[in-house]
Amino acid sequence: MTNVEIGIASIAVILVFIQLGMHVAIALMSVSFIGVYLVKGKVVIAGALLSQAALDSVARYSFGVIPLFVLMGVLVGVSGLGRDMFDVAGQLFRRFRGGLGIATVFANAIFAAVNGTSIASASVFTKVAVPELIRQGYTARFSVGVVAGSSVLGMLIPPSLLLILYGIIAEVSIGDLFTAGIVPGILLALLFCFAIALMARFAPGFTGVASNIDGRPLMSTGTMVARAAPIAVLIVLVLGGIYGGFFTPTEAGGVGALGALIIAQIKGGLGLKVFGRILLETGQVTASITFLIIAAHMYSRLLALTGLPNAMTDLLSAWNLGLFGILILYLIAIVLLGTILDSSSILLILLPLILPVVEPFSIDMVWFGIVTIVAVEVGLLTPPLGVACFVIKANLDDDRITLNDIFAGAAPFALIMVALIGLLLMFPELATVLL
Amino acid sequence: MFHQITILANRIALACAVVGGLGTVGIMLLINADVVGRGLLSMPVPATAEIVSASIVSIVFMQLPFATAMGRNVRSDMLMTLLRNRSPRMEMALDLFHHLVGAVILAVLLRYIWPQIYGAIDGHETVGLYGVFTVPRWPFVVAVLIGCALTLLQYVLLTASLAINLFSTRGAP
Repeated sequence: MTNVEIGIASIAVILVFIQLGMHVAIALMSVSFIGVYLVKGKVVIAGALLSQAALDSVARYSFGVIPLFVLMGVLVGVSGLGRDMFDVAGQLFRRFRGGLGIATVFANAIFAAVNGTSIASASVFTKVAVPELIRQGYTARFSVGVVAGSSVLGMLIPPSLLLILYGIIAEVSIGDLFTAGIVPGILLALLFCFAIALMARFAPGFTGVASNIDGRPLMSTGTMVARAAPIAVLIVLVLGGIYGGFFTPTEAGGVGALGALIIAQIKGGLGLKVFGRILLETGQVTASITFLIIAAHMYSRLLALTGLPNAMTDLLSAWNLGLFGILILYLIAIVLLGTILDSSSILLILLPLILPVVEPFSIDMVWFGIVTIVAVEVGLLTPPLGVACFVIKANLDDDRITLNDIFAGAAPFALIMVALIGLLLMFPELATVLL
Repeated sequence: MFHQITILANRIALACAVVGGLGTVGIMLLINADVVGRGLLSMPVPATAEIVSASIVSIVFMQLPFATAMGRNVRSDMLMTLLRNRSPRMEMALDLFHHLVGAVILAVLLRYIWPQIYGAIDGHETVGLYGVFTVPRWPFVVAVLIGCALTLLQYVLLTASLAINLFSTRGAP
């Protein structure tokens, strides 16, 4: 086998292993080890590659953000800030057609600004929003679909773990990526709201008709402000601190986590036991994500050794696709992979391959990152492996809502995200305007 | 006997995860002290970036054994779920294979991490800014070593328990 063939074979083997249900990190590590052995013919070199990646690849300041942003997200989830935001938004939008659906998107967009993962958004809002949506008369399909669709905002609106991951792999400033995510994130939220209003008007069979709107007594303006205040403080603290130049996005994780801890303490008073459980949950998420990153570093070194990225660059330039053709191929590959892989695995496998290919075109890597993340996020909503939909299913107490219902409900939102990708390709300024 | 070993291993893993969690709180406080010290008192905490960078590997490896024990490593369980309803034994056999590969590759990792860690201790390596503020590197690398060894232990125990289950139910439908 030539080295390039080893590279291609390694991708195929990894995809098969992951589909068989092997731990993704283990699949990446074992294939990298064997691959490097095949290329170099020495076990010692393959072993050295593993150990160096394990010890050095994550030993960077920017990796400190991962546990801290995860901790912040868990704290925000536990302290009930998501429910407060949802209640306030529900009242704000109660007069609109599809009002509670719009409120869910709005609350999710705000929640996304203090939280870096779609998973956290999906699990919090499944518990908070779905029962209330169904109670007001929306169909189960639409209710779970809105939550699934709007949960993707968590990864687009800063802070975002996926943007951090992209920044680390592509060596792009995480601060710039965060800034670039703001406009597309808000635009996506607006598109979602617009689509909900349209669907509620023209496809009431899909959305259901809200009837029991005035189920709860209205809050006074003062109560609403008081409910929204903690999350507003946290947003100002984190985003204001980053853009005011007081600290870097890396440090924002630390400041935000402490802020969330203080808010949670004031709101409910976390006992030592609850705090311990929060730390353990944070640790498990951190360990699984970072272990994946370490394994992916090993794999990207194997890919570089096989010369596959260079071969791909040559091949694609021989096809004369031009930048646009390559981008379309790349985005199709992401969306297809998104049906069978989770978001971080896609980034970790594809980026080492595509970065050398697009480098000669001297495109804006920040913009490229935003396009990539939106495309990857479509995969969260598509069957058979739509992680956001799985999380919603796991958090639902209602057995009558099947996984298929969730996928069907999320489909319109996935289509809107594809439209957003089109907009980003046509108007790159959407991502770069604030830079 | 096997049962007791598993319980003991899980307790150790939990203890390590708690240490890792406290480490997370530690870097949170360190970063905040640095931000406040720098912004308000123009007195940054020395070598914050270096210490956070070195800690993060240790924190991850301290938390990895417990995450492994709890089955939190990222995987796609679509096929496994399908198999569970049709042929639970097939599912178990496949899961056994996955954990066996995990055990082998972690043993390989441990084997090749060891010399580097020995080197860090033997060479009295330090973390921080030379001449300003340094701490010895050995606690960080020893944590990685312990975490790696305990994760290997978890994979071995999970493999063994799957094997016991698989072969003790032989013949059962």
